[in-house]
Amino acid sequence: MNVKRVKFLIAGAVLLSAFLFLFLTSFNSENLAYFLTVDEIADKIADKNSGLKGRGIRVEGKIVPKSLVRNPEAMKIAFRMQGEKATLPVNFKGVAPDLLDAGFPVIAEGKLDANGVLVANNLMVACPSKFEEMKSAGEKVPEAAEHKKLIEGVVRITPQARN
Amino acid sequence: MFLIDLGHYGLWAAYALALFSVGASVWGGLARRTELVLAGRNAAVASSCLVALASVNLFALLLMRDYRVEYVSSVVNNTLNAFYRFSSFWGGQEGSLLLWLLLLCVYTVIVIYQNRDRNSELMPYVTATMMGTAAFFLTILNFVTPPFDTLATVPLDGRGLNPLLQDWGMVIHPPNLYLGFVGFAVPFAFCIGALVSGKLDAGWIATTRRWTLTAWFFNGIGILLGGAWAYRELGWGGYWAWDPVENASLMPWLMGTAFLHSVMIQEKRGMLKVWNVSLIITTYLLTLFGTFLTRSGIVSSVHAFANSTFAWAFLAYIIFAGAIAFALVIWRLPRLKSEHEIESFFSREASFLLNNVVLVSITFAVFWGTMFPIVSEAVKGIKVTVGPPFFNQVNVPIVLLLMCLAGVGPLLAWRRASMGQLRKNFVYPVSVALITLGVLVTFGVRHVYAVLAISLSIFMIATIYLEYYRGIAARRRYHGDGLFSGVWEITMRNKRRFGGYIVHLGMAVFFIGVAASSAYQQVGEVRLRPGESFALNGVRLRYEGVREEKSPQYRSAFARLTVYKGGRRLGELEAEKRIYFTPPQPTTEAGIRYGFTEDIYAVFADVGEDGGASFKFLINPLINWVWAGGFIFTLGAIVCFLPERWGRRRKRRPAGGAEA
Repeated sequence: MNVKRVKFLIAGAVLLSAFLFLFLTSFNSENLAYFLTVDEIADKIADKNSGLKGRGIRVEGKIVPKSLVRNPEAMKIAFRMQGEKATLPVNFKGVAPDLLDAGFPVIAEGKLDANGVLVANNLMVACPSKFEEMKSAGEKVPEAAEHKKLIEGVVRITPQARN
Repeated sequence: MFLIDLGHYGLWAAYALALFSVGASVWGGLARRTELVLAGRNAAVASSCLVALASVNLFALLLMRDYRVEYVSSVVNNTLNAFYRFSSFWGGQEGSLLLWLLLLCVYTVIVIYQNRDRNSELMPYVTATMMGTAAFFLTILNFVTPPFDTLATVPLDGRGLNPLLQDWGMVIHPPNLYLGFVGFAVPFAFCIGALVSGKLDAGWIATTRRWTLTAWFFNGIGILLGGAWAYRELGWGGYWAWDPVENASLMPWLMGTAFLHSVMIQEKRGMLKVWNVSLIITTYLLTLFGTFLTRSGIVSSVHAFANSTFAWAFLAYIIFAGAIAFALVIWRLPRLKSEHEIESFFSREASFLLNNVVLVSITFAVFWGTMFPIVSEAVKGIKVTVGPPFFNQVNVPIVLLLMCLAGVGPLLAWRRASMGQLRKNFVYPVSVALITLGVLVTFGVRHVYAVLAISLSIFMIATIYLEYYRGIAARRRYHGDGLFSGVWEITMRNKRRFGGYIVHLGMAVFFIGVAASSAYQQVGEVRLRPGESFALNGVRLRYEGVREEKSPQYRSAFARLTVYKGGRRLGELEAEKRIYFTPPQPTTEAGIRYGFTEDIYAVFADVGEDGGASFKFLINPLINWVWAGGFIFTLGAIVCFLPERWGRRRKRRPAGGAEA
């Protein structure tokens, strides 16, 4: 083996270890979130030393019907997410996604507070391509009734509407 | 029923012909029987024609709103205009797969035509590989998701295209992405052809250079269009979220980029043969992997589609195709030996190799991050997801290295660069980059990554500028060319080299946009009453009130805003909330004031009885540079693609004749 080859091998090894270092250090708890179901979270809350405290959590599920409460003045939203056995209260402050109350699965990311409420910093609605699948599976197609009301409210207060 | 039946049985006949084509081509190739090879080739063309016929039928059924067809009734409704009825072809699963297959068939026919008198040793296997892929799609289209299934009772109105997809961005984004994905099948097919036939020189690479470029270009443009659509249509103010679906489209592009660079080493120096075949095989598999990932529901994605059985067919096919391809590579290993060795760190080869390592590392990080929930569940029993912070933390430093290489690599000589060349090429660009860095820090830019990314972008731009400057200066001396004719001439005389520079220029502009908009985005969420205003980063937005409009498909409410900056009135901005009638669904149409230095982005969330409304405002600095970079990238790719002779000045007059 010649000197040149050794030099290239060493350079390659150094580079790969640098990437590996970068890679491994990026797996810290700040960047990771537990992806749990509502029931798993309920179990973990019951089990006091489960280590969920302060950890990022991502949970996907449907909203319990009629549990959604909006406080537009404070830009706050509260609802419960449906599990098999338990439900999970979620609080969110900010602009909520469009289809939140349309019956689609919702993804919430955030942390649990002392009372077992998920304080979400990010709310997403699973993309409506799921819509099509739900229809073909024979599920009831959700109606965005709440939002209809919202826009009707707009219509009421703007009688000078054009067209 | 004629069109429906024709489409339905056409796809079955195409399936039979595709399978026959694979068998006849492989057998004919191995046994060296020309009539079988020809039969396989003709069957491939016939199969492609039938797929085209079926596709035309589906287009016709969509345009005519034939609700007897289940697919038509699920993506079209009475109010949808002709343009969106046309694009609803790929608005659902069945149509998307048919579009993919259609493009594959179009590519197959073009490849067969181009190579009717060339590459006769490779072509049987090329045809077989392309038709094998087609047969896989036809299996799914015939058995799992038939697009021509009819309904027992015909509805009066269809369910309509998802309103989010009713946007020009979403009309052209999927076909672009598919053109890219499908395109990688061509170099893959030639790679298989080279492996089976044993013709392992750079011939298959030279033949497929433009195909690879085309695939890579459309894949890249598809990703950008997806980002542009998300930015305008989804109302969260960003364009990339490291969602599994996005990652799935990025991975083949990254591998394709690596492949485009490393094949140059094989063409020039006969090196990296095993690496190149492995790269293109992986790229091809990744184009299919994305579909598996998103449709199987094994990873959670905002875009994800509910569990579909056909996703597992994709996985089975990926394993099958990967096994065959890599078995061929192992079988041919003894004949894939390098003809040369790398001689110096300061050589084009070394920098391209490093570029490959970097690109593959990014792909690996993206892959790992995307698959991590599955891995962690298998190992530790708990699903752990990694979000954008992980991807950014890993990838940003690697991308910075990549930018550095993109500036340095093209200016290094093959084999070994001398000290003199290094000084000549890099003294100015490095100085300019250092000055940029100094200026940025002096003016208070303290975000380390943003400073580095912008300085490196400027470095890249400076190296390209220097190349052009020298070329133009030389032409001015010898030919008396002006600035524009000089730029045109040197670009057209070295299309691959200068096209590459233009692509790099696009990347530099793109990264300036990405760095600034991600490091310095400002966000504010606020409830305003009419007449109240909100200030964000020197921009003041005054909420004037709400007005309403109606169209046949939706009703919308506009929040009217007046924008002020530094006390000066910039203009009006309207943020819209729409509610579609069928399906009943609200969408957000963000109000965006596009600008060279920043976009002002307003999302109108809701409005109460008293006229008070909730808003999300964003200031996105230099975000238009992202799209501008994409535009320059497009130009560069087109230059690389042009035929060698195109655009050159006709033969000069004999020596002594004065230049006009």
